[in-house]
Amino acid sequence: MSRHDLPSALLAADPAPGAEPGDAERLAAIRAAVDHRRHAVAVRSRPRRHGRRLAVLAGLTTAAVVVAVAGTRLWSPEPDPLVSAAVAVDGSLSCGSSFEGHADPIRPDKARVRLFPTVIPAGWRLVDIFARESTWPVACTTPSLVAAELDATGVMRGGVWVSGPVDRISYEEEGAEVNPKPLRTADTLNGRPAVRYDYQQEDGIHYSWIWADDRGKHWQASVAGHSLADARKIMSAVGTDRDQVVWSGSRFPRMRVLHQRTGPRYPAEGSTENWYIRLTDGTRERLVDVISGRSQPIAVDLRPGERLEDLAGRPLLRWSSGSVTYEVLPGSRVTTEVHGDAAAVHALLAGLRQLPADDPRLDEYAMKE
Amino acid sequence: MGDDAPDEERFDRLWRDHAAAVLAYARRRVDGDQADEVVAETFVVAWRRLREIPEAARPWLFGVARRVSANVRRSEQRREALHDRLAAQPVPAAGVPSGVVGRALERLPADDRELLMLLAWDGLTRPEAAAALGCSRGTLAVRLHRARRRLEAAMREMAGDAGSNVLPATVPGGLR
Repeated sequence: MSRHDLPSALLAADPAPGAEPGDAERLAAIRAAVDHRRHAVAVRSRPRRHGRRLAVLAGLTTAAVVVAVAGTRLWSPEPDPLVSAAVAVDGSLSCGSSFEGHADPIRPDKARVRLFPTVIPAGWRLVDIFARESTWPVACTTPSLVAAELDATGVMRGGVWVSGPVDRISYEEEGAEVNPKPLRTADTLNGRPAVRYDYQQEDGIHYSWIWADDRGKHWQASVAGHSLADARKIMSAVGTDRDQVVWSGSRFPRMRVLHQRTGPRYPAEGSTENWYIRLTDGTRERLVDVISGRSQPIAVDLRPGERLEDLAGRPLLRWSSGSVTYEVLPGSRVTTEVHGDAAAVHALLAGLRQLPADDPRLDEYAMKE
Repeated sequence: MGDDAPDEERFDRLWRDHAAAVLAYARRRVDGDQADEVVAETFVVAWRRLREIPEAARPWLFGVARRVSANVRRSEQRREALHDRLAAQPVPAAGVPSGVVGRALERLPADDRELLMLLAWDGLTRPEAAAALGCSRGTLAVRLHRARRRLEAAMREMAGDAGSNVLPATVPGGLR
């Protein structure tokens, strides 16, 4: 079968059939960004084949050797001692260059999480399982404090998310097109200079602030579901003490804390493991994606208008897109799609059980790779 | 180019020979500015893994770009999930054309879609596509046969001529 054996309609539907005007300039700009980033990273020796890393690195610059021997900082499991973040045009923190784009396969029997379905819905079939390890930008994606106002039925009416501290920030002047564009203004928050972003969303305006504490460390907070006046009252309950967020709940007693970091601040990067269970319901592939290595509960993902449900005594979040996220174990969350078969999906999720590393099913169903 | 070539020289050649193709690849899979990020990150990974890149570099680069694209999309979803209630909305695959073909592609499993796009749009040969997807040529042949049948069935269904007997009753195992 050649390319021309493919449906002609598919061949004709190529959305990028050729170069576009301005591509040369665009590629030059990308190359400049590549050079900027790669100069912080040494070429890696062939993996685990030589064992004499210094010899392989001979010929590189001294600086590069130092970086490489120290563990190639950008991709090292060693935590970056400094946390840098960009402030996106909507006022959120972004660590866009923190991922490598390369996930390492893990043998299922070597994975930390080895969840296996003990209940498979009628008509479904288990296809295979596989696991991947990768890094993720923890400090930019994990709030240190989440407090929410819930109504009598548990539906979130509003909330506050506080992230930080981070050591360095830069403001993105350009970024993804957002319409309407968030309004950025100089502001004062709890007596400190701050930058405020007003970001129109479907459920109203979200307010975000960026400010620095006494030490010059940066914090970011967002409030949703409230007017600006109420958002300021909520933020008056937010303080910081070195790396900790201090929540003075009595100032806004309608809110309760869903998550509060008490240990060290979140690192720039963390290691995460994805465990995938691939099934078929007879007509479509069903992928169950278990993410482990996250300390925060799924409650931090709650948004106004949503509520946590309970499945087998553990929290479940139903997205309007049709997928669900289930906290199958503390620190492990499962996401999968629902296609009008919530009962079947819930039974599958509630039936996930951890297998011992020597269970033969881990080998029997391991994806061949 | 052999292993003895200076790294910078080899990287320059990689860029010269493949950057435009990687940009086109990215355009077909992610939104506008994200394509730039996919290209940049792909080549940073290529720099770090320069000595692992095979002589036929394009499939290898596409393989990395595929993972970077997936990460960019996930990263965007995570970012929106943190600060944007719209995170609950499904994110349509960028770059996929509208119309019957686009909608039909959207209905395919991701692996099938990627395989067809690599062959039809990205110009890879079957051995190259196998290298990009990390599977054997034999496996690729099976997957391609299945993907093509599924696409044709989906297109017929989209066009109002559903051929339900064409779709397999169950998805065979060992998709990769």
